[in-house]
Amino acid sequence: MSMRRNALLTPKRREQIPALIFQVAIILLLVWIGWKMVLNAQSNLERLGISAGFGFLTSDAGFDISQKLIDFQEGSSYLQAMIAAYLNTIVLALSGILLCSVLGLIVAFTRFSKNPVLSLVAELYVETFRNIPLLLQIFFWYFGVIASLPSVRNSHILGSVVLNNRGLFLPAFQFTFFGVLVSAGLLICVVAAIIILYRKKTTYGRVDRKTWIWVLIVLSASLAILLFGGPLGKWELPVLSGFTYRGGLTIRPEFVAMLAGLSVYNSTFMSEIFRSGIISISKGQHEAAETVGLSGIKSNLLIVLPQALRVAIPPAGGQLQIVIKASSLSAAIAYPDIMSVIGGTIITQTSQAIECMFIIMGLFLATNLTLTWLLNTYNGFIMRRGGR
Amino acid sequence: MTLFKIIKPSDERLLMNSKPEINTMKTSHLVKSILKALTMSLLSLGLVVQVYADRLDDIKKRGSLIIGIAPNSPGFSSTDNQGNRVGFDIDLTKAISAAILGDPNKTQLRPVKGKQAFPSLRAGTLDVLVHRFTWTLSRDAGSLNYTRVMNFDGQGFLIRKDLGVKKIADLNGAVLCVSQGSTSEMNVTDYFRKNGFTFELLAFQNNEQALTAYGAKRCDAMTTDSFGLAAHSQKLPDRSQHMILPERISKEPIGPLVAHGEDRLGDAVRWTLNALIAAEEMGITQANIDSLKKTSRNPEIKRLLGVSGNMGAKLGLSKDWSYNAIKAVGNYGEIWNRNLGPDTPLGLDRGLNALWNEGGLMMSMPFR
Repeated sequence: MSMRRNALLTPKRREQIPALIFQVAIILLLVWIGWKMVLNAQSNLERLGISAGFGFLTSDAGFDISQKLIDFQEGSSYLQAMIAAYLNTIVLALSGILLCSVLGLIVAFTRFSKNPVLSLVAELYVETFRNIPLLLQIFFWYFGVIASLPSVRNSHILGSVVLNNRGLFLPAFQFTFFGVLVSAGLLICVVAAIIILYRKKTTYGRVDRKTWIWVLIVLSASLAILLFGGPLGKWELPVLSGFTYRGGLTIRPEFVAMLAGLSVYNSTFMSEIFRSGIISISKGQHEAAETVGLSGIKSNLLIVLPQALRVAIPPAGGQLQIVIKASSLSAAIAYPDIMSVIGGTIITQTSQAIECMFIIMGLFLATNLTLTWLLNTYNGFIMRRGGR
Repeated sequence: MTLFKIIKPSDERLLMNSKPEINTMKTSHLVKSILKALTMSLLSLGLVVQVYADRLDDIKKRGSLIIGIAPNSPGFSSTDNQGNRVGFDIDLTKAISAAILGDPNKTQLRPVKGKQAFPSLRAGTLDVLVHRFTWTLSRDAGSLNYTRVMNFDGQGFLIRKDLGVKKIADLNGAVLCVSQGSTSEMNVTDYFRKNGFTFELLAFQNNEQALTAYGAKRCDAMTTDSFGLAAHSQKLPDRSQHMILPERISKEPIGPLVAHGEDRLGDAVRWTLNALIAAEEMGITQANIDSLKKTSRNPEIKRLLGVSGNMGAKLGLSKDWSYNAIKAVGNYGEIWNRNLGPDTPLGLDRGLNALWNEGGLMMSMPFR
């Protein structure tokens, strides 16, 4: 076929026109529906006498939060309450992610164990906890934990560590300002030492004497600051005052129950993801590791795992996002996360339901996107290292 | 669905690099279907727009009342052994139904939890809310209307007797269980801060969970309206080991609500409740109402029971609206004694809820 055509309208482009019109129409329709929804919500709110906006964020929050990582007291605003709640969500989500990954990995390898009892136990674990609703498990852990621990007056006491149904009370180290500076300096020194050692490693895995001397100088200098620089802070011990223990670090049953629920439930899915990764590695790899004299654990950790991770990380990322999202079940057992504080208390106090829901959604979205970005970066890193 | 069927074949042709003339035909087809889709969505948006009518007329036309109630609050709203809903609030719903529809049982009772209750009333899925919500400015000025106070209550503290606590000041430093977003949560914070007490607040999704945690000794005290405490504490297996401290830290006037703007329905509910209290003031009971209606020469009683005057018509109700309500559940005192009084598990004192001429705050507005 030889037809003269306009350069702009090649046959291929002409064929795309209907599809293009269709897509534009769809987009216009979506925008129009969205706009209608906003208008509708606005007029309804007006009719109901609810003032929209985020002005309420700066007014006094007339309630208290049990677990707070920042200073939150009388006169603190709703915004500060939200920040305190968000930090609680982050602490719970991060601990949940770490614990469920570790548990998942252990269970996955246990299922491959040559000991039939061990692998059966691992399989039972997966099948049991995977098939019970998470909320029920959280209630089970929570009321189980409180019921099985003694009351304050009959606490288990081991030195300065106290355990009762109000929580696990640990001594905490309170840094002075000087202490913070010195500790930060020390951390930098140690990291620098590790980087130097890593960079200067020769082909045979050895480090030459000159580098070693540098590293030793850095480390001993920091040790000297630590020893002679003055007090970094002091230990604060939990003390019984009135109804409960105060001071030091308190790990509350609400946190323990949420963490246990989230990590046990999600570890079953994580173990299946890791297992599929491990199965994808050919048996030859294992046998090869054995022939060069690596023990079972070493061959698993050094040969199988790094390759299995390459398969496992994308689906594992999805599962870890579920951990973050499921942390919103906290309200059921009074763990003050964002869903509980913003979606429970603040909404009913201020009636700013739409704003509060937007804030909660925004926070979860931002958190999950950050996690995705981190995992993608990590994935890219191990793909490059794998050289495939 | 049709939209997808259209785009798919054209995609396949793109891959096969097919002839342009078929495309032009497809294009007109496509434009048509887009237009169709647009009209459909316009129509469906039109259907979503609500039609507002007067709620009282709607109820009469429908022949039933949809009422939101507390899910499980023994003495106020709970299920008995036969599975029937019983309690103080339930008797009020019967009175309202009898007054508006002439039959106490034409109600559809919907147990609603705290957070859903107000939006449902606002959105119109509930006609009336006979629940345990305190009358506050923000709620009344917002999208809700309170009809009248049926319980004068205050926030109290449930504690274990062996705790050795005699007054609220002894709770300095205690861990407290409370339900989330309630006025209780704010009241207790205000009170403890005002007095310079330290405390730890555990806010649960609802009172059931707060009570379970309290029962497991996770907290030293549970706090909410004292009637609520009396009701919920019935669920504790060792109820006799617990007590409610006599002090109250807040005012909690409680009564039925309607949506903002439903004035006629609000009036009907308000005056039905007034009639129950007026009946107690005048000594009208479930037992003597029929004979009083026939024989009484008291003009007040005659007006109230619809023997003379046209009170019912003014409210848009039948002539014997208040007779039906009182006949169905008795007067305020009878309702109280049946559900909350000394012979019930709750054993509550009338206290502020006694009639105004007996040292309480209960007063019916005049039937004139």
